[in-house]
Amino acid sequence: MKLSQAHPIATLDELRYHLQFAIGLELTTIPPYLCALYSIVEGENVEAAEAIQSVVMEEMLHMTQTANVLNAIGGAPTPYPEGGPDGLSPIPTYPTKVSFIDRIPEVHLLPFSREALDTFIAIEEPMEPRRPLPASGAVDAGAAPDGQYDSIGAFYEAIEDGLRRLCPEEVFVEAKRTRAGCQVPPHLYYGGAGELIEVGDLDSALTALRQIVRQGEGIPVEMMRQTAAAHLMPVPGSPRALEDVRVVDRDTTTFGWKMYSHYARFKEIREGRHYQPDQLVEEKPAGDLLPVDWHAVLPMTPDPRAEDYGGEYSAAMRACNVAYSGLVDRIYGAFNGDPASMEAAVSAMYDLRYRILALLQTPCPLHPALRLGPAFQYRSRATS
Amino acid sequence: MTAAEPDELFDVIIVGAGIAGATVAKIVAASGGKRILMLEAGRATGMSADKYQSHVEAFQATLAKVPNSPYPNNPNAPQADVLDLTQQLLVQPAPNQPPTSVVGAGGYMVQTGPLPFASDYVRALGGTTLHWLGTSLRMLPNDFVLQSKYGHGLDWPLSYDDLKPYYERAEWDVIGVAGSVEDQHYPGIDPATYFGDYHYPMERVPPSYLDKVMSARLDGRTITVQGHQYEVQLSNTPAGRNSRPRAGYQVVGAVGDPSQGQRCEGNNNCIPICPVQAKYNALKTLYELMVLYPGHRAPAPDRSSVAMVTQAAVSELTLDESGRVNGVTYKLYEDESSPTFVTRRARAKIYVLAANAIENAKLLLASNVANSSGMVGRNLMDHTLILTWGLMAEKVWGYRGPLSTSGIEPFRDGAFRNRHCAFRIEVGNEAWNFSANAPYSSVAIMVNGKERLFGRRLREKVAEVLPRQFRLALEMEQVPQASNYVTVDPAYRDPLGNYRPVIRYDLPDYVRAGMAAAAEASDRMYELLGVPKLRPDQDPDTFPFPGDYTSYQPTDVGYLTYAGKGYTFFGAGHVAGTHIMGSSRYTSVVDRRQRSWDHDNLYLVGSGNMPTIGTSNPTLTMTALAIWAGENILQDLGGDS
Repeated sequence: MKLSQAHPIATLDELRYHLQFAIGLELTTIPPYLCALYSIVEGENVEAAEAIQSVVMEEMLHMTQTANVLNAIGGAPTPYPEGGPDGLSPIPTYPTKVSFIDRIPEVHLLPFSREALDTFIAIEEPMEPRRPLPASGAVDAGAAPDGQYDSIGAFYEAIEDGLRRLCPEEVFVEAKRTRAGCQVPPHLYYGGAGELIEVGDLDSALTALRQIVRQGEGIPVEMMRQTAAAHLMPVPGSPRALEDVRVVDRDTTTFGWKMYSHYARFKEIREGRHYQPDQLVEEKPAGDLLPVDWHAVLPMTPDPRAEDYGGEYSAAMRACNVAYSGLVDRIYGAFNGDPASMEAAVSAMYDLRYRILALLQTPCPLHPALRLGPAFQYRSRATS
Repeated sequence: MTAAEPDELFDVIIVGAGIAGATVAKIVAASGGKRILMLEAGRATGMSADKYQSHVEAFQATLAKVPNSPYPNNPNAPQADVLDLTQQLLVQPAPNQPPTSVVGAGGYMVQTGPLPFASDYVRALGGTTLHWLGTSLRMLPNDFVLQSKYGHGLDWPLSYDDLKPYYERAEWDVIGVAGSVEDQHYPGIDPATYFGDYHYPMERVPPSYLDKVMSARLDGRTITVQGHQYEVQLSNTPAGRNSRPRAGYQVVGAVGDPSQGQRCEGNNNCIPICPVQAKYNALKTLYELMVLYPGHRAPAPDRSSVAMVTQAAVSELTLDESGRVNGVTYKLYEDESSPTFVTRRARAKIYVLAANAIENAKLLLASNVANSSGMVGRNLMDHTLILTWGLMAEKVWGYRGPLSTSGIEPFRDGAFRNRHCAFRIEVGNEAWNFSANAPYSSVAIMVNGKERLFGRRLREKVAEVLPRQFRLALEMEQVPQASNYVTVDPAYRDPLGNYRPVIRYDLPDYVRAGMAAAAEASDRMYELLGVPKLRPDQDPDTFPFPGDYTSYQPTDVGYLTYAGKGYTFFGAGHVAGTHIMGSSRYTSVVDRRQRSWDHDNLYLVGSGNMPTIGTSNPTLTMTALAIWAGENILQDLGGDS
């Protein structure tokens, strides 16, 4: 099986294989965002840290939502999906290049910096014009040479198309039996804009995917042409609809409303300014200052790897890798019908955070001006 | 100095932007078309995520992590601090001499004794909910009829059944309470009638490991206290703390940073500050008001307008010839370090005082309003709190989880209330932090004490001792007494010229006897927990375990004696009772509708209205009462709008 825009998704297995990598795609962005977040000196760059943290939480929501879609069509989320090229896992090793999406740049693990933000913006940037998907059975001559998808949006569009064509009601009904108890319910998940959707039919599957696309990756370009005010997301924890949120005006932006798309949130940090409510999101933010101190940052080693060091340094980095791997395994456990695993994942997140913070306090033995950092090298429990 | 009469006439002016004021504003604003002004004497510091973080940093930097440590004093809206108590009581009355007026050298309250009023509150936007624990227990039905049932205290003009629907709204619509009905084990209470067919908006916050150890040892066991038997059972405490929502409830995160604080993270410092705002504070309600009803927009039939003015210290209410309130005078200051201010006036159809029980009383006395009963300032109450603490035989892992997740409730009501006050036992998850300022003090003793530990042996000792620390808080119901009061004295003013509170405070034998009974109950439970009194040959500075380390010293600020035994009490921060409601205008300040008997356009809200406080932390009850007050205000506004 191949992840390719060159032809439409042809079988249910291929669709499930795509969704395995959609889960991994959501996970891919989390480590670089965490590096930026945790390298900020505590108490500094508060607004930037809040924005990045809110994005991280949404990525985790999207990851879970995608798993719900896969479970709803009878697939079992796993870090090692079968049927593709050997060794191709949805869970990346950094630096990483997402092999099946052309325009996502190589993703590095970097401390909070302009360079890191430029990558984040590139990851989340909408792409236009989007070429129409090839008709069923046809081959798309305009596709990238190796058949990569143009953008995250195009990737999800192909999945939506596959769902419509390949998933009659029987698929969902059958999955309710084979994958009973594997939907992660909304009360187990929190944070981020929007609520986790339980998927039981085609409509809820499409709604779930659209929410993901809308909030960040592959956001439709039409939405970017809307004003910043119209771009505000409903705030979780309030029953207000988007309509009501539009009454928010400049006064309240200073109180921290930043439920824009990921793209807009990162652009605000990069430029050190908020949007004005009447600005288009594709414009350069020109509102109130969003103070950013690029020096109030712990100088993390770029793309650190545990094997580059010896002794206690390596041990601390490996321990951090184990914590990360345990977290990923627990999350996948929750996707496979073990709700207690999600609870364990929450404490695993804190464990990971403390280990990362400890690494960021440790001088790098090779470059004394730098600090160590998390490598996010995944080894599943089965193989480590 | 008189300011010109303002042209603008508000529907409602609310003095004080804490939970009571915010709740009234929310209820009134929800009806649409209302013009509301909120005046707050303190700063708006907490009202943005990064500024709230400055409170967190102040807390992290301080050594004595007392309730007001994250909230720096503002000279123009000064507040009490429990660390000031020694200064406030600088001149102790001599034995057998009447108390003499004393001046706090550095404090805010002027206390004349004989006991210190040992609680504080926050004067800032959000009020004392910034540092409350979050405990959201309802009062028990008998708490409302204490006088007729037990011959002590007073009766309310409202019953539990009257208040029940308002409790539900406070739990769902304002605070957001996590808890399970089936976990509530109250004496003589049938959950089917007490709660009815009801559930809290969020699932309970899970019990701590300490709770589980305690439950295993105590649940179902019987203890004898003063010759009477009581069955012990831990109850998971309902709390204004985010957990998993039940159907129909939306969790509210941090102000300005909604992805924070969606669940309690167990940071173990609910008091003095929840760093992620998983614990409710009134800033959340105020923020909602600011977003839904921006104050600079004129109200429309379907939308109210709520203006909030901070750094506006109200100094006086004025009356017209007919005895109705016709305005408030407030002092607006720009810089808290300078006593420079401008005087402003504002007018409304209805006025609401929501400035904390002591501040409300001060303002009423300063204005000479609402006091035909002579009861303004009287019946000052608090929960009287004593601690017991020890080391368990095994590790119970304190210093994690919310400060408290459970309580022991059998002493909240019973025939004993004829003889002594009711009390509640709170199980703490913060080890010896409250009782001994641990872990800092414990480590200091290990390093500087007899053992002089360092290096590996110190680390081992810390790992042996700290996880065994635990404490109970015994919280006594104080009853109303006219002789406990707050008053004002022209000799004592703050930099803006507003009055400082002058307080006279003592505890009657009814409360002290309850304290003795509570200490006895604690002793019995320590026996069941396998924690004996330290023997004379055991040196507490070497931390032998298991052992009961409770110790009260005559040099403690809150030291008192009863029946030959000494105890050290703390205030619980539950300032109440200074303008009580009642069924007679001659003995109470407000009627059952929470309206002043004397002025038909003046409402008082907050725990000052409570004639008795039972054994529940008062915030939930005052919120329920504020919803009720808000409805009555709407009714009074009636045809006007």
